[in-house]
Amino acid sequence: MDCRKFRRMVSRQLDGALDGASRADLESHLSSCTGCRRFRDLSLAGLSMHRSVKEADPPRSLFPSILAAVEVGPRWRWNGGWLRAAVPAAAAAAAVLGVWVGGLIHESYAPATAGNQADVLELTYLDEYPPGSMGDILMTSNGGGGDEQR
Amino acid sequence: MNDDADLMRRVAGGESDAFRSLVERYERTGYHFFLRLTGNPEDAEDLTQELFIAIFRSAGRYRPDAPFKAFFYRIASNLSASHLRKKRLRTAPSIDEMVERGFDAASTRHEDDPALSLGGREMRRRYEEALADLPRDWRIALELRVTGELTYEEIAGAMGKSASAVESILVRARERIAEKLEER
Repeated sequence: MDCRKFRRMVSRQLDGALDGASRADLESHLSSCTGCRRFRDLSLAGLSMHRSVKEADPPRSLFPSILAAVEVGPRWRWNGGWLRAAVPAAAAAAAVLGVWVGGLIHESYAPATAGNQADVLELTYLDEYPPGSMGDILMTSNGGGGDEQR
Repeated sequence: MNDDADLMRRVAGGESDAFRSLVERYERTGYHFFLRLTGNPEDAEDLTQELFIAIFRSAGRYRPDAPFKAFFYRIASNLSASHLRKKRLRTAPSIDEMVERGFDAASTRHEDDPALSLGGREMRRRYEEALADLPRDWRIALELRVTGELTYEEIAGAMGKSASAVESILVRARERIAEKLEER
């Protein structure tokens, strides 16, 4: 007697996958085999216990945490052909714009002309103390020797 | 195209509303599956989150001609196997945890059999211990069959085994459990 074959049939029966003809064979075997009958009863009890566990409620925090974990995904995914074309085009446009703006800036800060150089030289007056300033007063009180000291 | 397949098509297209609907529909299923396997609410929560992130990321690879349930449980099985491998969980949840999770004592009494009428709590404790002692793949296969209600072929697809191998695993798992339940 091949009990392994019948235990496989018991398992299949528990899973609702045993055909009618096999079921008759199995019942016939079970009527005379205590070990297999025991196996069937205990397996049935196990299945009953397993199925009796009610679904637990997930914690309330789970749903928002799942959504938060993937929130940025849809907006930045390369999921459309238009996006694949649009991003390089935008990059190229930004580069052209950058060159143009750079040119404008370059013009604004171009090297000084001859006239500008004269203006810069004129700044030598800053070496003197303006009339009425503390430096001018001190220099005056020293007897006008400021020019000699400098 | 069924509802799930349509939702997955929209998720793959980046529609956040579709993803939200999918989570609403299957969050509880995933959580229950992982809770059964791990016996730990925190682990079940983490794994459920990982499951949906994986579904979101692989939505583009989902084939609408296959049942979503099989796709869902394939990812869940992989996550479970990895988790159980890391944690080497061999401890059964306590009976108090099981009761808290909603074990229905009345539905599992077998008054006509001395071994099966040990009383709900003792019987369940033995059953949960037997489950926890099963090899990892056996536990996952049994959970996919009983909790997920997958066919042998679907379990085979989820676990990367043949349907015949899955059937053999289920028989051996049930034999092992029956032996444990009979131990005095």
